[in-house]
Amino acid sequence: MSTPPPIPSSAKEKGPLRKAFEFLTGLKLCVAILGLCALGIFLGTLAQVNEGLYEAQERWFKSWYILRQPGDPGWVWFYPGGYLLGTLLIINLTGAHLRRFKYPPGGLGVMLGHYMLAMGALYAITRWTLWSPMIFFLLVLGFLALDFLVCSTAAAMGHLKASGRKIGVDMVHVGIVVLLVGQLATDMLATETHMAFREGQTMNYSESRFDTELVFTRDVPNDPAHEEVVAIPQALMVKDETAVASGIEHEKLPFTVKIKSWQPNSELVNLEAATGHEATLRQALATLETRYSTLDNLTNEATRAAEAPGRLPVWKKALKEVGVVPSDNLVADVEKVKQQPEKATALMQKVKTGFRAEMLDRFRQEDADARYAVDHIERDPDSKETPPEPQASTDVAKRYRTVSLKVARDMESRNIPSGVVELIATSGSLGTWLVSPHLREQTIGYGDSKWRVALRIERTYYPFSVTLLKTTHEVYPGTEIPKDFRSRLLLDYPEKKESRETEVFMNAPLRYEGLTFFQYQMGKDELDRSRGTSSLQVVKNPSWFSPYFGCALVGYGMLRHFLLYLFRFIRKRTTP
Amino acid sequence: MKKWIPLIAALIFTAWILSLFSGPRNPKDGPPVVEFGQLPVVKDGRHQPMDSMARNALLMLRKKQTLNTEPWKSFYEGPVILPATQWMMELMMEPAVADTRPCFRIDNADLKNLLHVPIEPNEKEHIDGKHYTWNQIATHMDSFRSEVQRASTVKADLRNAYERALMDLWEATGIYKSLRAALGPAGDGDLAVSLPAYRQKLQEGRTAFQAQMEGQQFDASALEWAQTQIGAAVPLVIPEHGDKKIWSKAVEEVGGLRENEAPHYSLAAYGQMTAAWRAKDWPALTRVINAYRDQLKTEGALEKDVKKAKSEQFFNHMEIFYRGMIVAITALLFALLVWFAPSRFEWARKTAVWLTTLTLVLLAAGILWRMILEGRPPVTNLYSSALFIGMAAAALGLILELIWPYSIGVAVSSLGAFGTLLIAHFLSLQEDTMIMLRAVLDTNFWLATHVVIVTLGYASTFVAGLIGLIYLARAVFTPHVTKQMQKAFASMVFAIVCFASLFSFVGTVLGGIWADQSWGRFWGWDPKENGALIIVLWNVLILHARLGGLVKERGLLNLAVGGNIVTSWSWFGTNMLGIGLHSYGFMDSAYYTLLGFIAVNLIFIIIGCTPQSTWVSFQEKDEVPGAGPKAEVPAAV
Repeated sequence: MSTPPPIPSSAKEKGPLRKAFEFLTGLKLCVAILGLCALGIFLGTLAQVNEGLYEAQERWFKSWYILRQPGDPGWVWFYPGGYLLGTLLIINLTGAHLRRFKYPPGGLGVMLGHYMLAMGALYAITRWTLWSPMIFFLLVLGFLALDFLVCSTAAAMGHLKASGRKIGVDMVHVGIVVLLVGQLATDMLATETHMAFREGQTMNYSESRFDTELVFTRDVPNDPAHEEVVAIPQALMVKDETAVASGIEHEKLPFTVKIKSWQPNSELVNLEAATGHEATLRQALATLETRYSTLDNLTNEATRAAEAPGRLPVWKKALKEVGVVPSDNLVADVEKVKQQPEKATALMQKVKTGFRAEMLDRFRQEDADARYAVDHIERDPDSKETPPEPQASTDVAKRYRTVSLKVARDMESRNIPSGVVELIATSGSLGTWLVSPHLREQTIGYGDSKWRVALRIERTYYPFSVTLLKTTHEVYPGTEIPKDFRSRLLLDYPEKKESRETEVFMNAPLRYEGLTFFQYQMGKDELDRSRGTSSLQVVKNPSWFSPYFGCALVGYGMLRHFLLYLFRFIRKRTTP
Repeated sequence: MKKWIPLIAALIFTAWILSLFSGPRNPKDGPPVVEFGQLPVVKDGRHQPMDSMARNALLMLRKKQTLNTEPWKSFYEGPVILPATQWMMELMMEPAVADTRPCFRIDNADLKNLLHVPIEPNEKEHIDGKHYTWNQIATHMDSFRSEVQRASTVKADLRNAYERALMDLWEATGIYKSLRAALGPAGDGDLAVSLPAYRQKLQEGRTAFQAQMEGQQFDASALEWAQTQIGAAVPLVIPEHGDKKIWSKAVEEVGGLRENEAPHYSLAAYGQMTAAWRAKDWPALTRVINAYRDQLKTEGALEKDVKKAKSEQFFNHMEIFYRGMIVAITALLFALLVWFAPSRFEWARKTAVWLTTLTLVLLAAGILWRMILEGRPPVTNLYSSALFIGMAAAALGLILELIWPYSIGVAVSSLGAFGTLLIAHFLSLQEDTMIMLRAVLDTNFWLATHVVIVTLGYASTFVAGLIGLIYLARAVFTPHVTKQMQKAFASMVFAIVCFASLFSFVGTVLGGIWADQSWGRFWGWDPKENGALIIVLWNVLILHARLGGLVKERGLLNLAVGGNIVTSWSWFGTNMLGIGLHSYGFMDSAYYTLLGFIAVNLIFIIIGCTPQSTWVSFQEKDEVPGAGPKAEVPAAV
């Protein structure tokens, strides 16, 4: 690295502004920022274990500062966030260049020309040969050789001396700025959605991963193919996982929308099915109760259990709990226990509790309705409680309930929110509606406009459509390790009269209309196993090129700069 | 005479390695292990020789590639040691005998108690307290199984030592059972007799399964037998044939037969092998195996598999990386010797250089061979990254040694190679090192260049760190480091840090490009990505700290030691978080090793911050004040 020009030595002459400027642009701050970045990234990585990948990113990297939260290392009370460190780094870096700038001996024009030419060439090479990496690398190396050749010739002739030596470092720093600004732009502008379909299905929209929208729809008179839609994005209704109380108005809607309550993650219970499950379960528990009500029956039950291997573990466990080592003959063991009535009663109780727990457990794993039934039985064993009030005033809410679940923080699981919406017209409240992505559209029935309401996963519509023609899902023989995932697609863009087939597979996304389609998941249709399903990730990132260009600049600059060192070193050693 | 020592040492080791080229041999008067080991088979989706399958299985069972059948005997009593393939042949063809071989290693005392196996070594009763037979374990299968069921509900990284040992043993028994079932009816002798009986048992298994589905009484043992036969881990021994475009399990071949249809010739061949094995008729066994191999070779599609299997068996036999480790440690000893009296031990330095060069050649050859066998770029998993880091560190160290012949570069070189090979050895105990890659990790230009270049970045950062460690150890504790040498140390580290900055940056970026093309984001803050970025930041920090004069030579070397911590975190620590796309699973013992490594480096950094006047070196009073290197700004190199 070239030694910085000496800082003016007489400290007395420096005013406080000058001092501040020197501090802000100095190498001490630079080293401090780099160290803070390294440590911050380390802490943010550790935080991912507890907070989840997504949350930790938001808190540590996409923020200005971090304040202490439970779970952080004890000494962290305050830490600069990614945005703050990035901004400081840019200020430090550009300031340092301004401060050390010296008028080039060859003239400003020559220097600027050299810089523009080099960076322009690198931009062009990156832009046009990105998809054939071999050619990219060859061109970059070729350009580097040319650069060195021109510079050394020019230097021999007395031109370009300073810029020929410094351009490497300068390009590295320009590249860093491009990377930082580009990453910020990505954070701000990029969106990630999903398009999931089965073979043969056509989609003209993609769905959000996290967000829902509350949509109001009504038919358009005389046009059955279209409907009028007013969509309220989740961000307007909910902040920090709780409902925003104030009413939302839209010129097209004849009423004000108020979110009464919000569950960030929930499951939908069909109350009728739940009641059915509950009846079955209560019946089964009652039978269990009678079977294990008298000691006389215990041997009978043991004989039954000995014949069905699935029942044995509960018996064996119960035997152990009353202090008997179970042998291979269950009936004999039980006979032995029966000689001590107290022990036998304990055994009977243990077996009963064991089977009861097993039954409840099995039910709980079935579905949301069965879970609801089990919860009710456990909370209210004798069925004394009056049933809870419906969550909303509509009929649907009499048949369905939503049950709040723990919010999932990891990347794999998805939260299904639900809410209760109140609609208020000028005449007063129209009632409340229970909405969930699992529920169909519900009619509102106000006035003659026939509006309907639903909560659905947020959609982004496109002017073109994608049809899934065929899925390929290969694994290595004898394993579940995926070998090949691919979707054959038909792109149809009527306005452009474009209709063509294409393929998306692992490591080979489709770039179309400013969007990138990646192969995400594959499976089989749940209703028709012969049909494949495919899920594509749809990414829109206007600044996608910035990292490529930034990296090309930094890589090129470093290579050029370090090679200069190497040449100088070799020259020194060969000429003693 | 001393000038001949380097050449002689190099020749001895080369001869040792060349002697292995004669190929693997069968035990004297023993079964044709080599021939059987060359037969192709498909396991975990990978085409491989029986030899590899047997070695990997034994590694899982007892962490060794051979079976000591008499572990209670001491080394000097000459216990009988079987090659892996021989053990596996026995397991496949004569399981009743194999079940009495002590092939499971159990170290956890609680687990031993659960299984009621003897713990105290007792030579008379043939017990060593560590190795157990299938028969010993199977006696308490019920309690074993119920404990496994319980432990499997505990999240993997929350399991305690006993539960981990439990799950490891469960996996080992699974491998054991799947190998025992590999040959299907052919594992029971000639097909004429065994096939009808086998089909009968399969039918009983099906009936039991149906009964269980319908909630009726069923024959649990018949069901379990059938489930073992079709288990997911059972190797595919029947080659592709007819309509079947992929290899299949013996049970699938039998299950797919129509009435009176003869099974594929491979099954018959294995049946004959079993008959010959049980009759201890080795010449006949050799004939059957060779005939079967010749028949495979005549089928176009299979010829490649047969050739690859033979090549891989030879590769296994060479144990290149194990031998490289021996050469590297020898080289290291010579390199260390030089430090005590550099002027007297020039021959030792040369010996170290020659032997390290040999290590480098071995590593390069081994990596290249693996690439050919796998048909993939050099770095595909953690194991191969260790090999590659070893090779890169060896090469970098040798280059440094050529420029600064102070026996520092060569020490780093041999130490780096030895350390990474040792790590690779421990990683190889976890799973097949050539395991197939999931689609997203499949060959892609960006991915291939990313892993290779970022691994070079890791390797060079480690090299700089090792140089820093050597400097501190020698300067603080020995009188050998002079100001001039300190300057050489700093120059080496500076050059390597430049190299490391470039490679870690470009490697990290290529990873981003790959990620952008594979799942649509350039940077996802994944732990492994973050780790690589921290390495870049650390190297850049070193360069800027030096540029700004914040550190001089000593500070530079101290910061380089910090690079060890950063790199070990990125390489291994991030995998232990158990999250993110790059995770390879939790590694318990490695975790403590990593903590130890980091602690050692931290201690050295603290020592490095103590005043130099307390160090053993730099105590000579003949330095002219002000003329020492301290006063001058360090020159570039």
